[in-house]
Amino acid sequence: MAETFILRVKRQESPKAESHWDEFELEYKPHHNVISMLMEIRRNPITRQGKRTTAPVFDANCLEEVCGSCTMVINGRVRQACSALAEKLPNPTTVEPMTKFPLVRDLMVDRSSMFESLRRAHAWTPIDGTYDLGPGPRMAPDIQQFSYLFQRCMTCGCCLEACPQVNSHSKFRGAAIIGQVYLHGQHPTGKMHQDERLAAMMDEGGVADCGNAQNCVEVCPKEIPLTTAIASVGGQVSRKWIRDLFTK
Amino acid sequence: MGEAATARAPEFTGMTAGERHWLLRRLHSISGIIPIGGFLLFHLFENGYVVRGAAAWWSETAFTRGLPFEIVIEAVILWIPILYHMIYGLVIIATSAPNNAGYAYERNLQYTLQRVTGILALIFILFHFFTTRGWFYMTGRETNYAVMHAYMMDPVIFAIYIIGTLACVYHLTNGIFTFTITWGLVGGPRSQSLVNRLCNALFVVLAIVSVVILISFRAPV
Repeated sequence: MAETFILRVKRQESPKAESHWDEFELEYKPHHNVISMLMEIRRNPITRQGKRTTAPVFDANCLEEVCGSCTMVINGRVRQACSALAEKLPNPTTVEPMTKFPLVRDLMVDRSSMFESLRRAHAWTPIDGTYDLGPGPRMAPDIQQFSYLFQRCMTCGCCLEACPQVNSHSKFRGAAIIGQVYLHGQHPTGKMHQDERLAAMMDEGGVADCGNAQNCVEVCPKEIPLTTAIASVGGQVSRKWIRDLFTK
Repeated sequence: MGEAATARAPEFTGMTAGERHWLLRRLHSISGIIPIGGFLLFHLFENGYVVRGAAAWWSETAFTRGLPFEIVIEAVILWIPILYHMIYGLVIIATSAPNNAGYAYERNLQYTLQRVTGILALIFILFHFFTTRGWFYMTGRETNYAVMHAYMMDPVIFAIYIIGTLACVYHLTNGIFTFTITWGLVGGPRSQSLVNRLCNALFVVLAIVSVVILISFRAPV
């Protein structure tokens, strides 16, 4: 065999099973990424020790870092596996599932809690009525451009995985949802429903539970200014709370 | 039936669970600055007179010893807010899971330091209270220069004071920074980084002041 690459993969048969590590050795190709290597292992799942095993289970879809489904912990840091190129990785490299989501099997986790957060916080802008409502208010270009940064969120879960305040003994729902609340509050039509979103942000698990470790903004693959959103939404909820104290 | 049928004045329904959670968090945030942070600055200021000697320190701090309704003022301004900040702080710490090994960023280190100094400050403040003010309420012994001098000459107590005051000062200065984010006063990365550096500088200044004060108590009468 020519030059080889060793991938250490954390394996777990089911949510309740014990986990273990499998080491796979494959031919080094400079344009390999972690997903293409996992695909190669899947075709012939034999460990470095020569033991035949089951094919590692993992999620992947777009293979161009826009869908977020292949998010994993690679060498101890959360990122998308499809954009983790072999030529830029240490050899051997370790691949683990995210730890802040329920495990399904091997490298596959269930990220539905993030979609539940979007639902709870009404993180969308309602534009449909029973009749044509006509065009909404116009939006200044600079606000459009800044908002676009938040539209790149792919609910991949990196910000939750890296957050010390998101864990099994905390209800904090993480930075992604705060970014989306900020986004829809910036939109002139979305703003009309911002109080509903801010009320959801007041709940346990909302913006008040942020511990300002700011890992979210460091690990976000889309470089979304999440800490700016956290400060803004924290201020928005504070102002709504004080306003309500005196007027409700 | 349209809007007209359902639109009516809101009823008073009391606090929702969300509002209660929010109130507890905000009280924790604001109590750290007002009154606890304000008191810490005042406490360093008044005890700063010790650099002018034992007699100046004793006479200049007479004001705080002679307040009317002293016990009420102390309870409302100090004990209740501090106890609340301590207890709810422990609740917050219980929800954290530091991960500095995997994510070795400066802010993440400050996150963990804030929690470590919180616990150190909690232990120190209880120790400090019971050996000074608490002792006074139990036995009537005033914490005069001789008492403080004896404490500071004891190497173990002196070390406890150095570590304890530095923990308090760090917890306050880093807390001022996170307070500005929590309340939405400082938003963008550039302004947050500036405020963070200003708060770090304030820590250095207050740390030097604290150590100078503690060392000054070691001077013989």
